[in-house]
Amino acid sequence: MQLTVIRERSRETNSPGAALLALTAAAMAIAPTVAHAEVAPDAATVEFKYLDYLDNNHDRPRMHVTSPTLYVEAPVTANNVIAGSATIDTMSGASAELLNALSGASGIGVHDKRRAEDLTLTHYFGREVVAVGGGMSDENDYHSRAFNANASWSTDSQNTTLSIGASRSNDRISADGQPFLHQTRHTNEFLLGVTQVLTPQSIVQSNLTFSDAHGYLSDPYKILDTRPGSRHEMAWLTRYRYYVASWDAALHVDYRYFRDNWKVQAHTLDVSLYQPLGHGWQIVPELRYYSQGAAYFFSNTFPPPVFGALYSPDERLGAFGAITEGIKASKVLAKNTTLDFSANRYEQRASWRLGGHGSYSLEPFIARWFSIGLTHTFR
Amino acid sequence: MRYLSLIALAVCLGACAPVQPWQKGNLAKANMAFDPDKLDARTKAHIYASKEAASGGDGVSAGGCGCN
Repeated sequence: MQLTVIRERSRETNSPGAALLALTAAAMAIAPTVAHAEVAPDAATVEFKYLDYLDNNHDRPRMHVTSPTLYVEAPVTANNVIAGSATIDTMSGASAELLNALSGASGIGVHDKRRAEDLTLTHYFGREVVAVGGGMSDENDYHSRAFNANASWSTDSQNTTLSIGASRSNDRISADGQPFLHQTRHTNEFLLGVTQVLTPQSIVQSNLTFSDAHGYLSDPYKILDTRPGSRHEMAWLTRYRYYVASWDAALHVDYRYFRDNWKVQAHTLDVSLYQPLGHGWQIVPELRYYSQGAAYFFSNTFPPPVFGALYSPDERLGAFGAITEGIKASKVLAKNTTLDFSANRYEQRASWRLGGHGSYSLEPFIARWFSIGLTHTFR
Repeated sequence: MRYLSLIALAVCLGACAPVQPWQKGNLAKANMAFDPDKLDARTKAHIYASKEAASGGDGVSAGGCGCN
């Protein structure tokens, strides 16, 4: 979450005095604030983002989601920062899941709203940072309450930072059309991370997260979907940042290995380039590849091969590969105000699975999303 | 924790003489952050978690959702 914020303390250089100040800062003042050590932001930031998401199966629109989000980050004292966000997702469309559950009651529309809010308080002291936060998410059939705590320590040289984190989520699950379904799910998560400055141009971070979920993990809208009552996940994410001096660009390479006790294994490789173009413009092309194996109880046959045994027809637990192509552009409109726009296309195919075919009869799945955002810093 | 330190050490071997504070100007650029746009990162994590079996690595949860 808030563990690894690197902040640029650039200064305006539109006067000789300012230029001198900037040079001095480059030599002295910037140095202690960078690296990897975290610095409390000295000004409030407000960001608004609007997301428009659409997916389809076989060229048939399936789910449309619009999602405005407001994010505010504000220093309350020199060493304490409060940050919070609020989102409203509005979902509409014909849900394949619901159609399945209702045995082909075609044409039934789905309209749902999700409201989510979160708040984090971060305390900075010296080379240590501690953050506590909470979040809630509410839909008519799903309610979640979560709490988390994070801490990080940097070495004297500020070249190495160690991070730990823990969270707890308590969820209540019900389902439209199933008045007697009242279930719960509890999830504990832990994070261990290390960030290391490698060279004056490169920095790497490696995080291990462990997630332990207990309770109702099935999908109430899929007929006979019966999953185990617990799930243990491990994700190992390594993120590398390289500064390409000749282009003034930042190369981002992220790799994640994932496995769980449902026998899912997944690999994710994400590469993007943050390229400033001058006159306040910036462009960020991104390419992501993802591949997963199937959960051991996944089956896309109906009825289940063994009646009463663990079974899920959820294609998200099948074997497939996926590719995302994304592009983001941003423009500094005025001092401290930035407008950004992004477009992304995502496609899943069974045959794109790493090193072999995926689950037979999984249909290609395509999603696209756009976002537009406005960020202002009160400085 | 020792495991993680070893990873850091391994990626560092041969590459790094300790970087001095005055050499870190480029590392401090906003684009060199692990998540230059936190909201964007969160949105993507949310979308992928609702369409794929794998998730995690980038922090501890901000809470569950009926989408997965």
